[in-house]
This record gives sequence, C-alpha cells and structure tokens, in this order.
Amino acid sequence: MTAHDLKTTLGSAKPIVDKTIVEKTHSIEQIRYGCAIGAMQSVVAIPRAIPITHCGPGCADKQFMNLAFYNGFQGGGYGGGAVTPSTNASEREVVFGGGERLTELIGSTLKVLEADLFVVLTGCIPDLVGDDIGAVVKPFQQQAVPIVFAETGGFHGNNFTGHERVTRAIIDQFVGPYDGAPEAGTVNVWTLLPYHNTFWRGDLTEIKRLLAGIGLKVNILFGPESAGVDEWKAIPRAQFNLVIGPWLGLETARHLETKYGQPFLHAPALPIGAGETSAFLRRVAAFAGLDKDRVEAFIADEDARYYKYIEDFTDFYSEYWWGLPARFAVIGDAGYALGLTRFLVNQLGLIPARVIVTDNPPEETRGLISAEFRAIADDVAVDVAFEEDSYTIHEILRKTDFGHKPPILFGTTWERDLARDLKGAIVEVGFPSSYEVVLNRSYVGYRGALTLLEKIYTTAVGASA
Amino acid sequence: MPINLKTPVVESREQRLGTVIGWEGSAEELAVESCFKRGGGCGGQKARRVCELQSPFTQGSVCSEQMVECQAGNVRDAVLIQHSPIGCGTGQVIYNSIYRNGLAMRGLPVQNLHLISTNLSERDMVFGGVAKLERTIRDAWERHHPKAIFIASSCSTAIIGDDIDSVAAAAESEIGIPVIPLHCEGFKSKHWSTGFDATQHGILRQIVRKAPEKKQEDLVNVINLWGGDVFTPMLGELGLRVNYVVDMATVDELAQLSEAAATVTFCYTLGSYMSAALEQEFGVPEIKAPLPYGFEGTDAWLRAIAKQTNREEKAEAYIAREHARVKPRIAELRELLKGKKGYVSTGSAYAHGLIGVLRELGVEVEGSLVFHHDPVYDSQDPRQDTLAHLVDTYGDVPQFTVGNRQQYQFYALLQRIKPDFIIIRHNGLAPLAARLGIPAIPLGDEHHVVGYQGIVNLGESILDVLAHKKFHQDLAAHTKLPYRKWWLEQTDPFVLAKEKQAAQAAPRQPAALSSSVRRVGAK
Amino acid sequence: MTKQIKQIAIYGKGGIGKSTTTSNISAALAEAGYKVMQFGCDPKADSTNTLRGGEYIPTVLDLLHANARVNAYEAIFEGFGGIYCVEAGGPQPGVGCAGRGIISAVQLLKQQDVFEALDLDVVIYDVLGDVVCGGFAVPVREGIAEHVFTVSSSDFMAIYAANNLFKGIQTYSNKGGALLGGVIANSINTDFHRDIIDDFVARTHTQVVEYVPRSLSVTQAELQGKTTIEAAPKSEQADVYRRLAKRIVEHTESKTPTPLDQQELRDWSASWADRLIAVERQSQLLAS
Repeated sequence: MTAHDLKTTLGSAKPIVDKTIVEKTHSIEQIRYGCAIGAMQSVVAIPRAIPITHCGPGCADKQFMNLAFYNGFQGGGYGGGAVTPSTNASEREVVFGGGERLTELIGSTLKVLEADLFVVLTGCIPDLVGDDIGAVVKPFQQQAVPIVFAETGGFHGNNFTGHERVTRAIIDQFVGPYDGAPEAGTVNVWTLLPYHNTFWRGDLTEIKRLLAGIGLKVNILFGPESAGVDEWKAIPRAQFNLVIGPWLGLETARHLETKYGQPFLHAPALPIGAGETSAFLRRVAAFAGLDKDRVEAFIADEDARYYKYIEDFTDFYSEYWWGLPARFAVIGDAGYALGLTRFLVNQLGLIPARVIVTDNPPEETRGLISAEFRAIADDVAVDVAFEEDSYTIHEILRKTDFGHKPPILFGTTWERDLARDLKGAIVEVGFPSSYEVVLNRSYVGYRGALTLLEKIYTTAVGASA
Repeated sequence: MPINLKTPVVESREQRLGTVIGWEGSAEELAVESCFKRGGGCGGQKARRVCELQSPFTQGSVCSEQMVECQAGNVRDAVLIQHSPIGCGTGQVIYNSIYRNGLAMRGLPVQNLHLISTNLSERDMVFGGVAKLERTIRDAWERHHPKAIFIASSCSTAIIGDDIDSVAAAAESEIGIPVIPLHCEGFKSKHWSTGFDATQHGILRQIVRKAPEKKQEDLVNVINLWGGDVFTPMLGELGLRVNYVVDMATVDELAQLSEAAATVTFCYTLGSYMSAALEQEFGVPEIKAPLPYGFEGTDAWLRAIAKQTNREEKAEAYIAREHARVKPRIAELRELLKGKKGYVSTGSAYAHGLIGVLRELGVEVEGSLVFHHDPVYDSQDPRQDTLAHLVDTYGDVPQFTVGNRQQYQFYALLQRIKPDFIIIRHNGLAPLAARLGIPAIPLGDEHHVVGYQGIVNLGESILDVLAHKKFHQDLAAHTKLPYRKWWLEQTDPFVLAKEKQAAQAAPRQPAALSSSVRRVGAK
Repeated sequence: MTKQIKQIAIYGKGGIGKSTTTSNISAALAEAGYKVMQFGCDPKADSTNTLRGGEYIPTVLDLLHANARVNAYEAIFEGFGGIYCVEAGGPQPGVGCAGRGIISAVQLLKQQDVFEALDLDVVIYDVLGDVVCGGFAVPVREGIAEHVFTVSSSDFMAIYAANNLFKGIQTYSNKGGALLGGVIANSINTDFHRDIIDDFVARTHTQVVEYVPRSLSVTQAELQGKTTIEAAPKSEQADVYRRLAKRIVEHTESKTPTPLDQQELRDWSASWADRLIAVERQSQLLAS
C-alpha cells in the first residue's frame, strides 16, 4: 500500500458535515461551553484573584457549578464557588439601572474579602440596560484598589470570548504600560482555557516544567504553578509570548505585540507524547535563542524516561488477547482535539474516524485549524468538522463508519450513552466530564502522554469482562 | 388570595407568601413573626411581612431558571427550551448529571436530558429572538417528538421583551402538544424557589387534565425531586400507589395529577404551589399535616393521608409495626450519638423536618441556616406550619438564621455553634465548613431521612461522616480562607446589613408626591 | 362568569396629544357611567395628570423601587369621575430599562387580579409610541388590549410613528395580539391635513375614528390641570371627545393594518411634500 492509498483509507476524506444528515440551525442541545461571564473561572484560576459578578442571581453559580464542579469536580478555589460576590440583580436593577448596587457591592467586598486582584464581570442584565461599569469602577481604581472590569454579558459570546476579554482587561487596566527593556529568556504562556479544560491544572504544570527544563523563566499566569498578580505584572518584561493551541490566546498575543512590542510564537498543536513534545521544545528554543546543549540534554533525558515506559507498555500493546480499539473519534475543543489526534495517530497508530471541533473557533482561524488536521501525518489527513450542537454531533457519529471493531470515543459526558449504543468505549477528555475526578492529572507533554495511555487502556481493559 | 392561573406569568414567592432571604433570631420568634400557626392578629392576609435584613455584600445565589431546568428539564418525555444566550444553557451539565444518577437510583433507564438553548447572540438582543425560538421549537419537535415542550425565559429575553407566550400558543396549535412558556427570568424573584412555582404553574395550566374522566382513588401525588423510591413501600402499606412528580415523571404522569386522591410532598418549599393549586382547581385534597420526619411528624402525616383516603386501620397497624421495628436501633444510635452537636443548612421546610429527626436521635441542634423563609404556604393551613411544629414538638432552636446561601455569613454561624457535623443540601457551604474541620452530610437523596426508616438512616450517616473528621481536621490545618481578618472576627453575620439599615433609617418619600393624593386603599 | 373588560391601547408619538386625547376619552366614558382605568405607559408618568388636577401620582415602579413586595392597590388613585389612575413610571433618562418597566408594571396588576376586583368596564393604556423595544409592545400582545388606536397628526414624524406601530401590530397579529381600531386624527384644522391622514389610512387599510381639531379650550383646560370634559363640558370640543369616546367603546371589529415599508413611506411623504410646495406656491401666486 502506498502512502497515497493509506491517506485515502485512513483519512476519512469525505466531508463530515453531510447536509443530508441534519439541517444546521442555531439551536444548541447539550452545551459544550459556557457564556462570556464563565470567564469568572479564568479569574479564579489566578492565585488570590477574585471575580465580582454583576449579573442575575444564578449566573455566577451556574458557571461555577458546571464549568468547575460537574466537570472533573475541580472545586471552587480561593475566590470561586460560593465565595464569588454577586449583585444578584433583581427587577429593581433592571428597571432603574444597577450602577449604585454595584458600587455598594464593590465597597462591601473590600471589607469582607482579601485579594490581590478583583475583576468585575458583567452579565446580560447590565450589558442590556447599559450600566456604566467604567464609571463605577474608576473611583476604586483611583484609590489604588486593584480592580478591573470586563463586559462579559452572555450574548457577547462563549467563555472563550470572555477569557480573552478578561485577560485584556487585566493587561490594560492593571498591568499597565511598560517601556523598560525585555528580559531575555522569560516567556508568557497563553494556552488552555482554565477550568473549562478539565485537565488544565496538571497540563499547565507539565507545560511549565517543560519550558523551565529547557531554560526559560515561565509566566504560566494561571493555576497552582502561577505566582499570581506578580507574574501578571511581569508580563510586559517577557522576551516573548507563546501561544500553545490552534487559536485561543492569539488575540491576546497580538494585543501584547502592539502594546509592548513583544513578539509571539504560535504552536498550534498541544504537544502530547515524546515526538510532539521534543519537536515543540526545539521550536520554542530556536525562537527564544536558548542554549542548544541544555535543551538537547533535557530532551534526551525526558525521551529516555518516556521510552522506557513505552517499551514496557509494548508487551501489553502487542500481546493483549482480547482486542484493543483501532478507530477513534475525537469530540472536543480545537486545542485538545488537535493534540490528541496527532498523538493517537502518530504515537499509537490508531485510525481517525471522525474529529469534531466544538469550541466555536472564530471564523478567521478555521482555515488554519482545518489545515492542521489535514497535516496530521504524511499519510493521514482528517477533514475536521466544526459543530457545537450535540444532537448534530451525535447524528454525525452514529453515521460514522468505525470499521469492524468497537470504536473509542474521546469526548465528554454527553457521549456516554452514544458510546454505549455504539458498543464502544468512552474517555471523557473535555467539558463536561461529569464522571471524572481530576486533581493534577495531565495528558500533555512527556508525562501526561503516559497518563493518557494508562487512561485509554484501563478504560478498554476495564470494560472487557 | 387564591392562586391565579389565568395569567401565564407566575406570581413570585415574595409577592404571594412574603418570602424573606435574610433574618435572624430564634425559631419560635420567627414562627411568631410569620403569623402562621401562631397567627391570628395578621388579618388573614396571605403574604405576611417578616422584617428582612438586606446586606450590601452578597455572594452568588441561585436563580429561578435553574429550578425550572431541574424540574421541567427533567420530565422524561418532554423537551425544555432555554430561550437565552448560551450561558443559561450551562446548567444542562449539572442537571444532566443529577438526572442520570436520579434515574439510576429510581431504576429508570438512564439517559441524557433534553434541553436546547436558542443560543442568542448580540444581534438577537437588538432585533429580538422570537424567530430563533420558533425555529428551536421546530428542532425540538423534529428531533425528539416530545409529549410537551417547555420554554424557559431568561433575564435577557425578559428584558428585551420577547413575546414567548404568543410563540408558544402558535406552536401549540400547530404541533398539537402542550407548548408551555415558563416565566422564570432570574431577576424576577430574589429566591430561586419561585422557579419551582413557575414550572408547576405551567404544568397546571397546560398539562394537567382539566376534566378527568376517572378519579384514581388509590393514587397519591408525591411532589419531590430525584429521591429514591421510599414512598411506594410506605404508602403501599396503606394500599396506595404513588405518582411522583415533577422530576423524572412522564408528561402523562403530570396529566393525571388531577385524578389523584391526595397530594403530599417531602418539602412544602417545593410542593406548596402545586398542592394548593391542585386542590383549588381540581379538588384534589392536599394533605395538611407536618411533613413525614421524626416519629410525631410521620405519625401525623400518615394519619392525615389515611383519614383522607379512608385507610385508618391499615395506617395504625403500620405505624405500630414501624415504631416497634426502628426503636431498638434508634436507642442504640442515641447512645452512640450522645453529646454530638449537629447543624442543619438546607431549604426551609426541609430543615424544619431534619432538625426534628436530629433531636429524635439525641443530637443537639442549637442552630440552623435555612436558605429562605416562607411565612406561610399557599394553602394557608396552619397544620402545615412546619416551623411551629418543630418548636412545639422538639423545642426552640435558639440560633435560627435565614440567608440565601451566603457563605461569608456561614463562617460566623459555625463559629458560634462549633458543631461536630453539618447536614447540607445545596452546594457552596460545605466546602467552608470542611476548611474549618467540620464534616458535612450532603443529602443527595432527599428521601434519605423520610419516615421512620429515615431516622435510622440519618443516624447511620452521621456515624459515617464523623469518621471523615480526620480528613477535615487535617485540611483545616493547611488552608487559608479568602475572608479578611476583620470579617472573621465578626460575631454577627448580619453586621453589614444592620449598618445599611441604620444608614437608611430616614424614610424616603417621592419628592413629587402631593399630600392630597388619595389612595384607593389596600385590600 | 365575569364580564368582559374592554381593554384598549392608545399609542402615539410623544407630544402629539396622546395623553390629552386619552384622558378626555376616559373622562367622557366616566361621565357616561363606565368604570374606567387609565394606565399610563410612559416613563414621564404624566398620562393621568389632567384627571387629577395636574398632580403627579406615585408609580407602580416607584413602589417596586422602594420595596420587594408590591401591593398593586397602592399605585391606584382615583381621579375625575372616579377614574382609576395608574402610572407605570420608569427610570431616570439614561439608565435602566423603561421597556422592561412597562412589562413589570402590567404583570403586577394582572397577577393581582386588579381589573376584575375593581369591576372595571374599560381599561385604557396610554402608551408612548416612539420607542420600539419589546416592553412598549406589551399592551399589543395577547391577553392585554384587544383594540389599538393611534393618535396622529398630519405631521410626517407622527405618521412615521403610527406606521411603526402598525408594523408592531402586524407582527403580533397572527399570534393573538391586539388589532388596529383606527387612527385618531389630531390637530386637524384644514382640509389639507385631512387629506394627508385620509390618504395614509387608505394606503394602510385602516380608518380614521375621529378628526379632532386643535382647540384653545383644550389648552385652557390643561393649564387648569383638567380635561376639556371637566373644564369646559359644554364646549364643542368636549362633544368631539364624547363622540370619539362613544365610537371607541362601541368599537368591536379591529383589523390588521398594512404598514408601508421604508421606501414606500419615503416616497409617500415626498409626494405629499411636492403637493404641499405646489399648494404654497399657488397661495403665494394668489397673494401677489
């Protein structure tokens, strides 16, 4: 079989969104993201930062409970969950405006809660009735209160949109201008969406470890490995910005390029497994002009450890009697979907039957994402589908040819019943993962890839008898 | 004033019942202020006025739309459309998880829920969202052929004034199934329980069979959530069948609500509206008794059902048998739990029941935090005054607090009482208690504590959770709370509310108001 | 069985004389023995002033602002001839959402069964017609008013607002909403004014309910804080209002109008502008 034949066999070259399957409407059944105010979780992800929400009484609870609780049971963190202040806007704030109420809430928050940064996020109510949030927040800023605001009413977009808005608000209103010299070897990392990505804490930890390993000083900005607002204040001093993932973070990187003249490197695929990770690290090192010997020494060390485990795993992979899945589908955010697909194809030699990207990437980024999926390997191209409605997604998957063996789905809780119907396996890798308890588990880099292998094959073996 | 089913918009709890979300005192004081069983001097007006504390600092609460999701959204053969931007739809995750586990616990086929968001954008906020709603109704029908379609409003669509009523009416006549608008925008009510009422209002208006051909004299409506099936065996002893609503029911089971012999509930917070309306509109009697918690409550509740359905002999035999069965183990549990201090933090009527059960077990209960307080229920029948029943049967609760799940207030409350464990139902408070070294019993199955067996169940659960203490004490030594020192030193959880009250003491009078204005007069 | 309450909405551009007309209709109906409620739906909250000696009354939304639990009866005040006066009220200009205020105020009264309890015959909503958001359409919707009238002069901006209202009515017409009773032609003193209005109603397939001339007696009454019916009951103008009120209360058959689209409306107004210039030229010629 030639490479060309393989490509047509494995690559499922037919168009994925077959118009005969379902008519596409705006309706979304079984959601796969929150709304812009869901970015309150991005604030919670910054150590000792607290969101202040100006919205209806249920918005803060809803975004938290769904993005952070019934998704890996990640928990509320320092200022999230039931800690988060909210105006709990009522009819009065709707009809007469909610500016005064917000002033009152911020004032009392400062008495009750301790934080290094407060971020005011608005919901649909103030954004519709036109509350002037800037006018409310400004007097506090003038009194040197570390507080910023972002317009995040749900109709502006999803929590990815909200994340970029919150990030930008902090940079523009809190970090502020900088005209000093850049600090060589320091990098700001913009990658996974905190909390929404079920494994973000472990993944950011591994990403930071890798980048530090090749000699960078890393502003990881979110999660347990971040130094909090000090790290944010240091953003302008960094040598460059690193965007890992197909699109999220690009807007921020471009903004920083304009604002501070910082260059950025865009690595579209989240690195999973030794091959991907080593290549990724070499690319970053070249961009940053790092010491080659140190970089290669780190990679060699990591590679050696990684392949020791892969070798041990090989006994199972080659000798297991009862069959392992061959064809897979990925249903997830562009970031994870691309990283996973590359790993599953290139490391494990599995066959992609369907890949569906569910995070509604901006139109202008879709060309790039599609191109990345068409170049998974020399001999494997995938026609990726962009779809957010789970009914449509499931219809597509039900009509997918998974060959003679039960498929394995890399998806979410929404796919549990589908996997059962297809007599296949399900690995919950994205929002919502309501049947996973996740602490520091990671699926990226060298270490995360091994954990992912354990998860995949424990799932397969565990269901066998 | 009776329940008004003529308008599609449900009247909020604060309007109907005088519901409050901030109050502090003893249980007896609250019972007196509520003028329910203790009433007399309040002129028979349905909504009592209990003095409410309003704090300038508030933490995220819960909204009515969420309660619609977890009720209307969990009817097995219906679809709930959330007419909103995508954010309201985020709730699909939690209510799917709870729904699936509830189905599993009840032995029903596990499936994902059917909620569809109209996914409105900025453009729709400006130009209106009804066209998308019409299309989503079509999607709902074509995809699932449901027996009913519910439509939940949202803050945004209520502000821009999308007319969901006429869209629903048009769709209903076209498709031929009930298409039910539920007005549940979060800002409409300060307490989420209005969302229960909104769902029930819609079901009563458009699903419940108007003129039932037959009455089912052995059928009892049980208004509940996802709890395990404890009512079937209990009421089975009396030769009665159970019709569980609203969660996990079918549309047909909702339709037959009007055919039942009686309506009961595990909690009047949840069941008040539906029960009262079923009696008012369809003549299905609502059982007017304390809730089935503890010996006295369960005895009275069973007897009231038995009287209503003419099964008194069976009930007496069952009561005697059960007393004899559970009492030995309860005596052992009382011994094991001696000197333990408990704290209850749940929905209002449910808490009244739980405190009683704890006291049956000999657990000390000095305080409780309930998430709201309804001075009366819709029936206005003093036999349903669960708070007075608690005080009359088990004595006063000296530190009785009303607060809509405000974690910052919970700190001071726990400091005052220092309980050995807490019982909790809503998220958000247990994590704080945990950081203070106090374990919590999260009551996922709300029926766990119902009836005679419930007393035993709760005792066993307390023993289990006391063992968790090791985890929590270890955590308490390694945690940092986000609250300022000043706040942690406060002993009064309402200190900010009281400051605000004092600052506002001067009465406000609209400036343009003429003194010669004559009011038509309040009724 | 309770009696059928006649619910009417009167829309018009701000300043067109909508409240004056509405209050005179209410006054005439009260005089004729009907139990009437006038419900002002304009954040200015001055709809019922001339029914109450020029006084402002506290609004439904004032109550809502002051306390969480609202007794709707605290927002109802008696005016001339026992008319029940209610003002929805609204926020200060520049903040909040006046449209939502109208929704909230109407819902409150409906939930408390006020109309039935007061045993009303007629409810008249006096609605600001300039605003196009959903809240101001509430009286047009199913289950609120059955008949809508619009007050319009021959002024182009007033007709523009009327045409907009027709679009709103058309939107709700197939969903059980209110239909159009007709146009109350206000400030009609010349044949030319009359021709413009007549042409507009013909093109939009509706009718003029009454031509109300501009009259000094109206202004005089208003200055006393009164309706013409109250201040000058014997005047000719009062009789015009009585006739109008009778037509409205006896009106039963409303229809869906056919509003002009943007271009049609522009063309239509341009053609009238040409005729106006021609008429003026002619009168100048005659004068010279």
